Amino acid sequence: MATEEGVVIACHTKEEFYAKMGKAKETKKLVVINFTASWCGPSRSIAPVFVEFAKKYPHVVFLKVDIDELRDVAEEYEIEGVPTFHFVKGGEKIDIVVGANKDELQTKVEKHAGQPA
Amino acid sequence: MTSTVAATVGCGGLPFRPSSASPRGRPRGRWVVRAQAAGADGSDDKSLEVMRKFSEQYARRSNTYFCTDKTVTAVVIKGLADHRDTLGAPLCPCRHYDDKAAEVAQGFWNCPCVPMRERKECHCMLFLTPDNDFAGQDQVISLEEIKEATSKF
Repeated sequence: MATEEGVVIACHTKEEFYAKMGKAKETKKLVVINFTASWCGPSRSIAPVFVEFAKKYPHVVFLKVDIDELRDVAEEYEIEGVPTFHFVKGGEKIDIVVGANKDELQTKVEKHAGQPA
Repeated sequence: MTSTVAATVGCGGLPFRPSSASPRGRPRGRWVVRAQAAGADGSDDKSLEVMRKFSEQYARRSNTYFCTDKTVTAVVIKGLADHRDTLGAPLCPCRHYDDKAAEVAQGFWNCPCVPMRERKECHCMLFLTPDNDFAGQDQVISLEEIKEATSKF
């Protein structure tokens, strides 16, 4: 939906998360999932950057998952440290960034995003 | 001008030698603020203050510095304090655990975690070595700073 472009979508239930993933798979969009924890400093500090990227790359889906809220999802993606960013396209995990590394994150978003539809 | 990196940071203790100075997993007791059983005092700030003091002491002892963005420091200290209250030990707040209670008992990720004790690696960015791009000049943070920074969230 147009209203969900350009913003970070915080997923608070498993169902919501898998619905967004399913839709992105259909539309073949790149998904970047930010795995975060509420009282982790680096997770907090990178959050505004993630918001900025969501605005800058509206043809990419930016999801946020709190690892204590969606434990099953965190386990499925084998999250250890946070923040961790998973890149998924066509239902496949294609890349990962571990840590609050803005430059690496941006490089990989640009590398995998493809052209705007 | 006088921005030289402090060679010694007045702690008077033995130099920090990650893997050889002290028996593994049991650093010198006087420098270590271990979490005691939570809830004895019951006040909201007790754990926050314990973890604040621990962080200052451990930064001095390990010759590491807080992040230039002290919000990072404040958030991590708050996370450690919350874990101390809920789990009885300051488990690292920047990791996912299948079983937090088991993790606490195991001890590897109780702050200061093993990677920090052995190699000065703190992925929470609480303790940064002077050569780290994000390291600031401070080894102190006040309770007010922590409360102010964390109240925004």
